[in-house]
Amino acid sequence: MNNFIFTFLSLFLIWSALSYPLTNQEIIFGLILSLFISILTQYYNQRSKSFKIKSLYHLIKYFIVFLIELVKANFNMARIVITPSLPISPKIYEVKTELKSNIAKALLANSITLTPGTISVDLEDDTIYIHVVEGTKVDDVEGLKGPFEKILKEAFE
Amino acid sequence: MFYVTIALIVLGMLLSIIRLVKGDSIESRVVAIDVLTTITSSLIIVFAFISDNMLLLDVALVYGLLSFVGVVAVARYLEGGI
Amino acid sequence: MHYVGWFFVLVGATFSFLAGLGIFRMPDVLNQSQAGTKASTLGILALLVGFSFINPNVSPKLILMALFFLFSSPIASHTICKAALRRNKAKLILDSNPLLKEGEANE
Repeated sequence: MNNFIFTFLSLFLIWSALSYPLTNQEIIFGLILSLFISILTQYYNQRSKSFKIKSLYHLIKYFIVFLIELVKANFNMARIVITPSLPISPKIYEVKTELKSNIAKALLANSITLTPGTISVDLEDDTIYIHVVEGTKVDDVEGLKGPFEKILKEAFE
Repeated sequence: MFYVTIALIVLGMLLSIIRLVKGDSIESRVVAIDVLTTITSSLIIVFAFISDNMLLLDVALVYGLLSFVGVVAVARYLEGGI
Repeated sequence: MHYVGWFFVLVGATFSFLAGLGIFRMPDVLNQSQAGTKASTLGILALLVGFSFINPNVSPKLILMALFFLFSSPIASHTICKAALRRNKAKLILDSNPLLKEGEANE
């Protein structure tokens, strides 16, 4: 039941954001459509874990940290690109992760891609291959994961 | 003000088109197409606000969606997994 | 409100330009993907935030678009990099690693 309400609310939120200056018939049609879709997909939702309110708080915290890291990463990359001598020394590192669930691993790889100077290239079981632009500046390989692993571990486990 | 924005975006598009034409491997051309479509959809958003026609926002959204699906499909094909 | 919006729009256009410059200057696939993906993501994000300050009527749609671009572009670059690495693994690592080459030459 919990999952049903969550699906319904998120579908209706996306619908109303896409057709924002809402009129009456758009609200009614959106309600009918999201109810229909959430009834259709109820069978698949029963098998997944139910959604907790507490992990929503952690996800919002994760999102804010993520945006700050994204802006820092871009200024770092802009400095490298503008410098005339192009100071790059690329390398590939292997890093182990402790996260178990698939969606947490995917979010971790996503946020590694958008943090300063790193990009996640490949993911096998619990090993992430990370490509670094300035390989000579790395002194702590575990530090490449940034602050994200702790936050994601609190959110999903 | 609009002119400065459009000039910067078009310059970025030109540079990535040059990389697309003289790319050294096929993956580098696919990366150039990815960046080119993202910059193009930002140009469509600017045009939507110049001509005051908010329908173009939907066009930009669908353009980004299609480019994402296309790039992922080409990458999976190159990897040999399709 | 207008001036804040225009500031964000100009920042977004500048980062779009930097994405083009980065992809033009970098030597091989993995570095190009680093420069291009990051800069173009922040470029379109700042552009959307700026326009949602200028015209608050359509801001929910713009925020939805920003979320879509924020989560789709790292996935695209990740799949391309994975394909490039799987296709020619040894060659890419050797090419993109000048330190390794120098070490081999010295020995």
